[in-house]
Amino acid sequence: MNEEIFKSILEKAVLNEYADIDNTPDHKFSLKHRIAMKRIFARYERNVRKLCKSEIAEPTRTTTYRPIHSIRQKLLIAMLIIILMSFLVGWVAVYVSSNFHGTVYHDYTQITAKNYKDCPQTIEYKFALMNVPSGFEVEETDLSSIHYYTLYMNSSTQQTIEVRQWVKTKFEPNYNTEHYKLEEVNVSSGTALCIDFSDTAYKQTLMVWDNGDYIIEVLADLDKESTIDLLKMNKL
Amino acid sequence: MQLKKLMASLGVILCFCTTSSTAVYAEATVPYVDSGISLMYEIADNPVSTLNITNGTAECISSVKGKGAVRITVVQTLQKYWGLWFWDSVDGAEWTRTVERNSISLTNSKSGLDSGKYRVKSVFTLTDQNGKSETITVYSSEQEVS
Repeated sequence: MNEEIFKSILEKAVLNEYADIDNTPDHKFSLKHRIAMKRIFARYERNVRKLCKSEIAEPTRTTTYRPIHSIRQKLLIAMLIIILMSFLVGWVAVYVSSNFHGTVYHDYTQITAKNYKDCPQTIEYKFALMNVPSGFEVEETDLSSIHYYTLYMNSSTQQTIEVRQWVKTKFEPNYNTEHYKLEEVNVSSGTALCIDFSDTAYKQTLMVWDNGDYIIEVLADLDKESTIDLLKMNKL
Repeated sequence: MQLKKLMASLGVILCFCTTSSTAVYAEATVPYVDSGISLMYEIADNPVSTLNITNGTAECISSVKGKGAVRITVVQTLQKYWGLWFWDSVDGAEWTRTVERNSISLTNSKSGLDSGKYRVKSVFTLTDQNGKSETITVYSSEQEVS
């Protein structure tokens, strides 16, 4: 048998074998199997119908979470936050008087004038003390459009009296109030702020008031009573 | 859940508080004093640093009186805001004065300002009769030149 004949015989055998698969007859299931499958599919369809009906009747429940903290607990937490922030930021208080307001920090106080209505925006006249204690003379003056500074000095004692006149909108001092009290005192023109910086070694008092047009500061190397007398002497 | 939100908000506020160091009042910044970590105001009682700008000209005022001071030096500098937290000194706008007494006032002007934000930095050094010195730095409120 030669090779070509063998190949043709083999080819025919393969084709015959695969042709038989395409011509395989359909399987016939038994009656018992068919009844069982019918029952299974019927049960499946009933379950699907039941699920659809139950979703329409009872929509999905949502769970609401309510806070478990009472009002007392919330207040306690808020207080703790405020106390913690005050320690971090530093204790700050607001200062209010008849002519001034400001912010009190732990070692200094920032003051601003309260009444700005119709006040001059430049130095239109120079404020000066007509009467000063004996021995004091004008040592220096310094003028700008918003500020006028006069320094009276006693050359023998080296004591000074400093007078500053400010346009109200530019009045922005920082007063040392770490160990000193800022108080209001009565003067002829109304009330003035007063800080007594005096100690055992030095005398120094600050008086600040609003004269209607400007803010006047007098910082004198005198005790509180002598400084108030100085203002009375000048009818301020 | 609300407690977690509260704690998160507190954390953010704490972060802001620890980084903030400038006092703000009403609609404008106010002058503030930088004394570093040393005890401030042992000699000085009312340091003043003020800026007034009119028609492109800045008036810089620095003044202080110190109880028991025998010598006061002030270095006054006009500064222009550069960006972030940086301030540049304006050319030709730094002045120094020293007096042998307990009170000083220094007023200077600088004209021809470019647009921007400006402030005055005043560094006061007060010395008492025992040779003890105190240095404090005061910044004025900021003003804009448009």
